[in-house]
Amino acid sequence: MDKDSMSDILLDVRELDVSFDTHTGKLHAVNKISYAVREGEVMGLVGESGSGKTVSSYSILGLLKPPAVINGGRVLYKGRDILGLSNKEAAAIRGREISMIFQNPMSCFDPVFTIGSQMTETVLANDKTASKAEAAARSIDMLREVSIRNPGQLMRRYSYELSGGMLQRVMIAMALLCKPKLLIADEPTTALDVTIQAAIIQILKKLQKQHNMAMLYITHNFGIVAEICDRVSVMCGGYIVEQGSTDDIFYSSAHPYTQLLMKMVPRMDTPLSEPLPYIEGLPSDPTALGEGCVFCTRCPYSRDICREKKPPEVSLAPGHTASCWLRADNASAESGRPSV
Amino acid sequence: MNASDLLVVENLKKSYKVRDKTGRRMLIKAVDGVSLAVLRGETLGLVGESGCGKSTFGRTILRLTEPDSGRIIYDGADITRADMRPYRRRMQIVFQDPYGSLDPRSRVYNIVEEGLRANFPKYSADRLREIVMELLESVGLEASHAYRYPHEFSGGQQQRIGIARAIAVEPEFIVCDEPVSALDVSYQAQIISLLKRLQDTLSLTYLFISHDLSVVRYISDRIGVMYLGKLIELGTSEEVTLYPAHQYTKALLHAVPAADPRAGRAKVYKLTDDIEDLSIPEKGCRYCRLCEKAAPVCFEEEPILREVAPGHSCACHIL
Repeated sequence: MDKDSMSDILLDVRELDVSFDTHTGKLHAVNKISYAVREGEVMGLVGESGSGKTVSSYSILGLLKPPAVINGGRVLYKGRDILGLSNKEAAAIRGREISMIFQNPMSCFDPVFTIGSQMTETVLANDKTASKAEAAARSIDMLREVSIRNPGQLMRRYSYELSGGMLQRVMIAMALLCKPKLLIADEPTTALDVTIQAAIIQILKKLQKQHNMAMLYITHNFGIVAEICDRVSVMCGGYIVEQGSTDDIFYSSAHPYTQLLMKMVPRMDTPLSEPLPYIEGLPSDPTALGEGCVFCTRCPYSRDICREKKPPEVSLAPGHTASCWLRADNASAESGRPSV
Repeated sequence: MNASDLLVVENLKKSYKVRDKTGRRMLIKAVDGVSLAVLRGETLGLVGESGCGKSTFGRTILRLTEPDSGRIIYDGADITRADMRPYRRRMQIVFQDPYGSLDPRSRVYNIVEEGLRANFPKYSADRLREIVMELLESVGLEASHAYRYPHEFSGGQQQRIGIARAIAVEPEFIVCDEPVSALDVSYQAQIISLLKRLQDTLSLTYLFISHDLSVVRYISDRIGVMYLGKLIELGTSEEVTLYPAHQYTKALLHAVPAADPRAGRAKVYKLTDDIEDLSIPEKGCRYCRLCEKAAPVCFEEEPILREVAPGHSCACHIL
């Protein structure tokens, strides 16, 4: 990372390490990962299910519950460590500073209260000076910002009366009510139709620019990354295996895992005669990780060294790093990158 | 009906009686007069947004829900009102929710064996075991998985169990109802190639239902597009994705992320984006309210499906 850009770092995750205590032993979900999100920037956290992307984001807001254990590391928000804050201290940050939207909007609303009462409650909880009428007016304005046509009418409805796409918009509106500096978006469009996904992404992009809000966008789909992210961290089995700008990752990706994950996204512009590539085998069992590279059992290029030793993180360009033995060898020689 | 047609559907209609917010009775026309034919050995993709009737169509042709009117002809026989028992073995389905479609209290072995035992009562226990193990292997599961319960598997593996169950009874025709929509991209790619491989080895015919055109085009020979209960476009995969005729198909194609940060979106199409939009206009084309090329005739008269190129038809006035 450039020295001069250090000042505008909003969220700095350093060597975060999370595990779960299970009957079969310790399950290492997140292995000393480090990444930073600058002000007004969209950082993508990309990986398959089980790669640890959601767990790492939950620890930022203190949402992890036992059997999850944070073994170490720091999460600096505006320079202050927010890991292990008391509930009261964390509540002051949630909503006002950092907000979050989830994959399944249906389970995030209380079915016995109207959308309106849940939204005004959010405003009132964070702004003691606001009146009820002010809170309602602010909620309606926010609903209008997420392109809801009849916000007044919608305020009187219940979550179960709305479609998934509508609810996801309401959740975005609710998350942005207190103008947070950072929004954590945990696969907000995975459960939706492609058409509604496109609409939600347009809305998020617009609001992110308008409010100059930083975003941590968690997804398994590189198609969405291309649309919305400025920088990307690629996760595999609890490790960050590659990190760089969206352009670095798309046009000069170095890790075979990144390259494969990207090729698996079905696209409209590839010839039909070409079969859809896929990674053979299953993600490695996190309870049985060996000494080697986390991707070695599925990697088409794996060699002896990959199975024996963890690859070092190699810097390929300013802000672009990858942890792969192929690059560790090539880094000094500056030869061509491997392609899948 | 041609000899090459395995399934012919004529003017199929299915509606549901529901009550609206104010308690008034209303009729939702989920499938409103769809006719199409599925050829032997092909994959026909059926795409559209949620609520367009594609899943209802898939379930109705299997008579899992009863049609209001229209005809369903399978392999030359009219099955619209027939006893389905002789056809259940030949026509199977793979569901969207891989976990919800498996009995949580049955072991994988029993899930796959149940259909086999019912349809092939003469098989010995040893023979059944042999077949189940072969089936599990053919869908990429291990023999040791046979005695586990569904919750012990990932979504991709659960979908493999659902596929093993469907192919166990040696069917000819499988309705795949959004089989990969709930899965991660990496599992999605695995399941698509598995379905393709099984189609080749077992000479299966698929009706593949999905909301995502980019997935459908990888597996389908032909693609049908549905909008609010109607089939609005039908053609070969290549025709429909490269030369879409209907404005709605163009909008659907456009919704797929390009996976290329430098490409950007040239244009944003208007799409049905909330439930209120799912009401059917009283007259005219169902897409007229959102179509940017709509002419006066589109608000007056409902367009019918007509051929725009050999093997490619579309229901639109302004072509």
